[in-house]
Amino acid sequence: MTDNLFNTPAEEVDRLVAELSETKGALRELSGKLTRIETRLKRVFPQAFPKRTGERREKPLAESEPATLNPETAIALYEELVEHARNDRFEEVHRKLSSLSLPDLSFLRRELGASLGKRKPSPKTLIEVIVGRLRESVMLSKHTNRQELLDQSDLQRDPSKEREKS
Amino acid sequence: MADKSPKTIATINFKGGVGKTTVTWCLGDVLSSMSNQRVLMFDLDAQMSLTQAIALNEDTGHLHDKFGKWYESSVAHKKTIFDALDAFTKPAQHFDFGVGFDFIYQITNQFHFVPSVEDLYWQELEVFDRDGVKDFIRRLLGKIANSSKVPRYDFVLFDCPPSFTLLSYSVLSCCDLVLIPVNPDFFASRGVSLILNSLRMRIEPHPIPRIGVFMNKAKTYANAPTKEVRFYMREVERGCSEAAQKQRIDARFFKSFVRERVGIKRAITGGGVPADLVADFQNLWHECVQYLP
Repeated sequence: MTDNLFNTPAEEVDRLVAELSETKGALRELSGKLTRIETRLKRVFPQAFPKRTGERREKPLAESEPATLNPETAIALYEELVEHARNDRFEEVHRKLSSLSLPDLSFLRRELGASLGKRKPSPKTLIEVIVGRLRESVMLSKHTNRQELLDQSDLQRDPSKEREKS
Repeated sequence: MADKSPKTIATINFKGGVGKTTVTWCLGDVLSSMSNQRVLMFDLDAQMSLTQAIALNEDTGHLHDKFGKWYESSVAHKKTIFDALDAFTKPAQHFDFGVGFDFIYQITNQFHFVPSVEDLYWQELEVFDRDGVKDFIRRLLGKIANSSKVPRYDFVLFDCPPSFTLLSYSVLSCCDLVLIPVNPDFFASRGVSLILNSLRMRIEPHPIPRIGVFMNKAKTYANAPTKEVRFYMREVERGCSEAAQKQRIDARFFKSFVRERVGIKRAITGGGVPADLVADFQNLWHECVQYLP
């Protein structure tokens, strides 16, 4: 009995991970509540929340600048990204997209017909929208065949069935 | 001798609201009114959208409730599609069901119609044997082709329900072309993948019909599909060619598309395909006919 009295290190890690996740959830909820309170305060006392001015960030290349991509190269680039995404290489996708200029990202986004709620989107927003399209492309070409999966798992459990089949 | 049996086209998609009913009716209307071809159209959906839309058309006063009276008589005389199925599945009897204009309604001289009935909802409970139903549509078409009371049809169109029912199984086991309308959105496009990747498994050992997929409700800008529509067209085309290769099926994404127009919603009840959409359906017909076996 004394052997099982204390958690093993692996069990302890599992519990800590669960506790961390629970705490993160609670913080997320609190953060959401704070945001809602702040929004309501802003509505009632707009003067108490002056807009920040004077902080000048480095301006990225304007969206209106000419893009280096054309419709064909944009779609070819997208097809290349789809291949990466299909193979779960999203780091590569992000790396490629991050290397594009704002006009090129914007052009690619337009070629994919992805709509935006913003008039002047940041590169980050554009990348998110394009990655959203990539996820759709991956999902649209994925099909889970239940029977095939069951057959495969049967074969893994009992390889003699493969011989019978052949 | 030339093959005189009609070419059969089933409109299907497991996703609801993609425009199966409207497309089926518009195809029938355009061909029957603008050519010498005779078209027979079946409503196989127990939701009866097509049947009700045709009844609504009569309610405009155009045909003075002709369909309503005909329909009541057809139900009373047990001459509906459900009665035909009932006769087909009766044990130890040959398929005893006479086909005439008490079973087929004449919308126009060249456009005829077999309506749906609510009883189809309960058909799955009454008939359990899938294989007992598989030849139903084939045999019914044979009866129609051999009946001296109805004309010879060039095309038969089926408006299928948005699910895999026994009747859709029976249609898919014998039709020449499965036509899948898809919309430019993620969920409708997923519906295509589901059919393409599961059809073989579901209807084997019957031969797999040819499958044509086309974009319906395509938003346009300057008469060309918008970039968003083109994105989904590319994706669905990719899905078609991958499924064709993987599932060994004859699936094709059609170049023709049907534009989104508010007016098309009133096409069945309001008396016709809007003038600016006629060309879309004619193009679709051309591609269907070229692709048919």
